[in-house]
Amino acid sequence: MKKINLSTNNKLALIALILGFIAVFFGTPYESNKAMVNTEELALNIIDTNNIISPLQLAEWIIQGKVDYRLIDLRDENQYEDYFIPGAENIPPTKIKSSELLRNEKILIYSDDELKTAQSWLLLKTLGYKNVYMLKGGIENWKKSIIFAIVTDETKEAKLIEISKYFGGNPKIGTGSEMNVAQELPKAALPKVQSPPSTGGTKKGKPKREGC
Amino acid sequence: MMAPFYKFDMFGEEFSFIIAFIIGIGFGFFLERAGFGSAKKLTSQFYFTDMAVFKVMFTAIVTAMLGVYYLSLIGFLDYNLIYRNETFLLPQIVGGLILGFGFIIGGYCPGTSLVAASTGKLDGIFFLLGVIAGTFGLSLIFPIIEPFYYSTAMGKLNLSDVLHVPYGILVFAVVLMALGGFIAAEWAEKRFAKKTVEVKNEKD
Repeated sequence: MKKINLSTNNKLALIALILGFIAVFFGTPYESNKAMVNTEELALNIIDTNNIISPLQLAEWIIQGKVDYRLIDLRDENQYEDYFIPGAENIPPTKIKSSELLRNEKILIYSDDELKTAQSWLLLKTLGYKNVYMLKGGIENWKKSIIFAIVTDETKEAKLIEISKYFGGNPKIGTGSEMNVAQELPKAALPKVQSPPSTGGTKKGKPKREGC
Repeated sequence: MMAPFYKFDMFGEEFSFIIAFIIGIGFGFFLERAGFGSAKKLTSQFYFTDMAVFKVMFTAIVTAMLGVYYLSLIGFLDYNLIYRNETFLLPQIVGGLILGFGFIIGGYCPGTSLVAASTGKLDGIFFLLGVIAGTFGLSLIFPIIEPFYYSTAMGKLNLSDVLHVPYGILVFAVVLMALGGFIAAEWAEKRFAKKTVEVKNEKD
């Protein structure tokens, strides 16, 4: 048999060719629908109450201008367009996987249904998102405790009134019995919110430059 | 999944700077060793007499692509976390042309000008001053060109998304493209190098 002499370059080219050829049979490694879960970690996460954020806490984050988290509205588009918490992006559960959320980002999710939120939390954890938080009571609780806040003592809770007004809310002063009146306010009374700047990573500042 | 290490919080931002520094030094070192600190070597690719730049860059592309592909395949790397530039088609074509002209005229691309400057090459240092002046100039006129700068935005795009070709097949196609390119480059080198020698001889 004739001996074939290959230079180092030829050998490397041959390796690349073989690896490339094998890739044809493995297809895409990026779109798998299967995922591995660390059940131990998940169980500990469920006990942990630190992953639940109260509306007041969120309101303070927004007022402080915190940008180290992404606020995700899980409801459908129509509900989102009707009203959303300032800064929220609309990503329904079916679009989570194809979304541009990063695995190491702090993600705060809310919906109009706590069960739906909890299920989505599990989905996000399964997909490998590290820091996923839920808004306690969802958007209804947000409306109830921020937008239509009931204040019993005006001087003691001046901060809450200020926060509520910041979000265009309408804080009521009185006892808890008036709560029902506040809840029955028509949706039109909700302050309109400007859409956040388009998603697509603009939130993280200017695109980085990379090149030769 | 454990990579990219930084995105999986294996180390903090400060340490990532140290790593970036080490990788940067390594990148510069190998550019210099490949001869890319010389404007002569770099520009000769535009005359097809020395295709080293093309070969080195395409080798880097193929090596990185195969590495990313197989590391993702075994579940070590989360491909989606790797930073990718977004595509702004038209401004990037225009930018590419400007960079190309600058490359031919000045003899360097931004990275290699740093390599040349750090080895003390005068033309490299002047090129670098030009880069700084150009960056400053761009920032001054940026408000005027901003609409164009962000036009034809297409988001993060992959070849396989655009061509609707399964990933594995695309990987193979790029490898074939590279190998074909290398063969063509070597052929061109022989052909055009001969020509330049002939021209030189005629002049003598």
